[in-house]
Amino acid sequence: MADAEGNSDEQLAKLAQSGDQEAFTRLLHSYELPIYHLAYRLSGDAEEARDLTQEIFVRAYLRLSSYDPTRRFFPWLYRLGVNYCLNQQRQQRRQPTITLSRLGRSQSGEDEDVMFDLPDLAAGPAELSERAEQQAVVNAAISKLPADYQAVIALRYGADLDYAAIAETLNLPLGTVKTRLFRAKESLRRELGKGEKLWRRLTAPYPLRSK
Amino acid sequence: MEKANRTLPSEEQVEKMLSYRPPLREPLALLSSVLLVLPASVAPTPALAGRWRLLVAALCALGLLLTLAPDTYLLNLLLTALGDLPGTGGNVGQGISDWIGSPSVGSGSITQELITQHPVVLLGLCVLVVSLLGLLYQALSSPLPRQAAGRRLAQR
Repeated sequence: MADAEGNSDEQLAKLAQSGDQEAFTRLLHSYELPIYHLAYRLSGDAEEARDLTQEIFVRAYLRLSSYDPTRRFFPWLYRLGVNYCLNQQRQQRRQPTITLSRLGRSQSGEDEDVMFDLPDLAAGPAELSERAEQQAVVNAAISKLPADYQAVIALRYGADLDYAAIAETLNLPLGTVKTRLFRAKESLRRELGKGEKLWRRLTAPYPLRSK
Repeated sequence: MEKANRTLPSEEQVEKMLSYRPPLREPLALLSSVLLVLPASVAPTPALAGRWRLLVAALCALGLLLTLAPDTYLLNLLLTALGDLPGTGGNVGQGISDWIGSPSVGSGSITQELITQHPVVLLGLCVLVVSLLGLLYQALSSPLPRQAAGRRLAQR
């Protein structure tokens, strides 16, 4: 990736390493959205993803000296992001906390989860509600996957990386990435299939008609 | 089996749901919040910091070499060069062990004795002091990791 002035990410990172905060700001601009989406896939919560994104960039800045400018920048940043999100997730499992954005959700079960996520002005209320429910179910299913599977899912569908880029980021052979992604999706399908009633409701055309 | 397959979502359905990406609300606010908490003096010039550490370590090693090890090959080379200089005749070549072991130690002013009889030891001690000062400067000028964390917490 290169910015408007033709600097590659690696050049910008090198400049940032020598104390150029403007170069770091440009890197932040280029990567804030993919990192946010990656964090969203791993946290399942838009507000939490925002906090995670901020923390990831601060960590990236503090650890810039460990980046080797002869290598590509994006795998370094995404690896840092995935590791940070998964570590946070592990900590939260040990010490469960509830975020403000999750306070509005029902505690009675997944089937009644309601997400107060970001308003998407292009979508109507019905579509929004349906999408929110879908995402709540999908995010709950993702959180039950092993960390290795979550990482590949987040990099593929959150950060929108192709197989080769995921392999480079996670230092894995291409075949392993493909296998993990396939198995992760199979596990997700099985997990989603468990809540049959809910799944049918979510995939049924809106509005639902009572028989 | 057939029933199970009917209830499972298809791969396309799963992919479609996974590809949803929420819009980032107020990206500029995120940007400024990140920039606000960035410490002003971390990360800059890691290369310079590395070079500085290397210089201090080299000075420290040289100081120790001059002070404690008068018979090493490197020191002999240096002494040969020093020996060729006017005014550095026969007294060079004695390290701190020779000096301490000498019967004359403590009989007069230490400074005077160092200057007149053991210039190499004196040189070594000077280099050691300079390297220690460099070490102190480096320790005081680099921000502590806790400072950055504290600043972030304070802003929350």
